[in-house]
Amino acid sequence: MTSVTDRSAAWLARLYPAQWRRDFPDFVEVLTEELPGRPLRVVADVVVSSTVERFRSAGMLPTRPADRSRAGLAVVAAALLPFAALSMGMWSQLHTGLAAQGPGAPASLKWTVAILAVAMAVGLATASAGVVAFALRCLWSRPSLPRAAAPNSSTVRPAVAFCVSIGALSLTGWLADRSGWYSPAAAGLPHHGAAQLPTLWIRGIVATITPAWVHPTVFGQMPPGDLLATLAAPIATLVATASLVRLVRRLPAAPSRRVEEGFAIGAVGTMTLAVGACTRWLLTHPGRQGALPRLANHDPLAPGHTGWLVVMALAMLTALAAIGLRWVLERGSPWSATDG
Amino acid sequence: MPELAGLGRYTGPATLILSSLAGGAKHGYALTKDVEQFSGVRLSPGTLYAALSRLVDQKLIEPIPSEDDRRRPYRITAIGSAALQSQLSEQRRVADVGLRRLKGLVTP
Repeated sequence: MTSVTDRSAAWLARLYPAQWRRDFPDFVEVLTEELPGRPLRVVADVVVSSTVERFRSAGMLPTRPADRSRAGLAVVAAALLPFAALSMGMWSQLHTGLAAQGPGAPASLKWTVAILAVAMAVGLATASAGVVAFALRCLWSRPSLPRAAAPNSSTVRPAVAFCVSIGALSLTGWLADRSGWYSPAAAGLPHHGAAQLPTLWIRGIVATITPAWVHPTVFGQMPPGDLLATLAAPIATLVATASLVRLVRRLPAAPSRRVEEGFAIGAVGTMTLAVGACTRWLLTHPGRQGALPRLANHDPLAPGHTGWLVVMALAMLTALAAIGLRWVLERGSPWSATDG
Repeated sequence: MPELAGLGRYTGPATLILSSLAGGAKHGYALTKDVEQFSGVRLSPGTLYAALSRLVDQKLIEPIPSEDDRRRPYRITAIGSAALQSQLSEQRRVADVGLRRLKGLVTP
């Protein structure tokens, strides 16, 4: 029969990634010995260490220099995804003057459709170019293709986790959308047809950065659907980000240094420009925002200003991508003579 | 030459672990007991295994095959020995300076 200490130790060990548990099979034994004497200190230490290990296993805290480049690329990709969704919402709002316009308003619809079309075209073109480049590379290195390119559990699991978390994010976005609670970043986006899907993601992500975190009384005013989205969307977003990082790190394709570094530099440059443009717009158009009048939204420099919250979120994602870019560039200049 | 200082907040635990393994291969539980015996420091399991994980990543220690699936012993590598030598020499230099200055300290 197992004791309470044994069960607690086994439960605590499950906080670590599965591969880590396989690498350190005697961890539970040491934990079982240490738990009774100083439970609080040991539990706190395990919770912190296991969280760090989770981030490391997701590739966000690499220790080996060889891992840092691919990890940096993964971090850039993970930051770019929510950035793209958020900035689309933000830009459509900027073009309508952050006014409380419904999705059917001509100005909202025109800019939203235009921005979505450009974003989708760029995304599709990039994805197509990537697929073609990967196919050509596989043709040229055919002998090593089946083994290198075959999907395996290390890539399937994060892919499934990514799809599930994006599904959860869409669901939370749908719940929030149906709740009737106003969302400044998503108000101008389409609510019909296939284009509704990114709207739902934006709605879910925006629920994550709601002014309610700054003004907690807003939580009490939220409809149940929006409240649920506010609480669940951060988890779904985090899982989606971590899964994407894992997936990118484990993909069998190995793009050249120039492609990796060009992608990272281009992504961070575009993100920085977008943040700068949004900031400039907010500074030159004060007082036009009327989303939540009771939250001092007329003052664009007030801490609860929705536009600034979105810009701050975009800036944080840009900073995260910049960290990834630094890791990618650490191994040298892409245009140096040693490039291979 | 790898430096233990690069391990950040795990430098202290890593020095203790390497010093213990310099006396022979050990698994996690034996390491905890040995470190406590020679240094008086009781490493928490989370810290101990986080340091072990980083030391393995840096190839300063390596796991060795064992018949017991539940326990995995580790031994210090040549790189680990060199890193430990460098770290302890640095600590000795600092300790010597501190002790020498303490001797010359005029107490009121």
